[in-house]
Amino acid sequence: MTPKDPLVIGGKTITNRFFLGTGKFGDKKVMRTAIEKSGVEVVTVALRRVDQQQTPENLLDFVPENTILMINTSGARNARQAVTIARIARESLGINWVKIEVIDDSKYLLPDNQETIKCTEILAGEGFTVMPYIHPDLYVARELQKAGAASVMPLGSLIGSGEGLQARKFIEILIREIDLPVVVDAGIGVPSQAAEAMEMGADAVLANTAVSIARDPVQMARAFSLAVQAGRLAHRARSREIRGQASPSSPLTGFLFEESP
Amino acid sequence: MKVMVNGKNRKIEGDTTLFQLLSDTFSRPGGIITVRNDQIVEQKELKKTPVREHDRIEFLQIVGGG
Repeated sequence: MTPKDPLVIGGKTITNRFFLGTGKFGDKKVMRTAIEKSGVEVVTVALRRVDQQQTPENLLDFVPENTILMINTSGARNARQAVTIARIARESLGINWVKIEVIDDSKYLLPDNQETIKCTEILAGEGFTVMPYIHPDLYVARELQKAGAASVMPLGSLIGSGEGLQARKFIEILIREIDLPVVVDAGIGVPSQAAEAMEMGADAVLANTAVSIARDPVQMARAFSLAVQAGRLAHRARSREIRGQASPSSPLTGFLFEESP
Repeated sequence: MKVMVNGKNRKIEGDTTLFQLLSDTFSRPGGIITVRNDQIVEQKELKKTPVREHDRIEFLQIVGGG
């Protein structure tokens, strides 16, 4: 949140680089207070069938005005289903930001990168601001950039695991090589992990479970927001340290098929 | 007539509208998104839209999600 350090995504200027998921909050009033007190500007929401046994409560009544809503396509098992969810959210509620989450694996909840690329092509072509949630892979991120993604959202570790930046090396490669904002998503369990992601150069961090199931979600949201801010400051303050460049283990000379000088 | 509501078969007696079906199903229908045969039906159209045999109707809502 330093002055003159905004993040611009989809034509919108974002000051707070901590994004919050709205799942698993026991009390929606607490969620609203957490958003307000932490200054969160971007939140994710999901679309589900209304459970006929319950009296539906409208989540959007508990999201402060001017918050940027991003529809998460969770529940989609392929590109087609994710596209449908995004279209419904836009047509019915005007939500133009979409976090593409395509998962067809119930054990590890890993995103299907290939379906995510297909979905990105379609939705970016329809004018959505597309933020694909991916397993961090350089080739996939390049394809997403070509397809018109507004950012890439690599997982830090498995969804809800709280294991932090298990994929650190691969996220670093994306940060260096991809000309899109990198938003680290999933597996961020404590604020220090969010700060670490920002220190290494991530543009933003998204967390949900770590905040919503905390004993005090309001204070935890604040802690995350401050950690993300601190990590960003640290990243900007230090000289860029290039690490993680490949170092071949085999000789780079004497290849069989090259002409000798 | 037989229709599908949120993936479940349902029998409906006589003529009805989407608005009536929505009101009969939920005590607080505010904020519910109605999709009929893959097309969103706007709130103001619900009273004018009859439910027809074999309709696939989805009542959806925004919920918390990461």
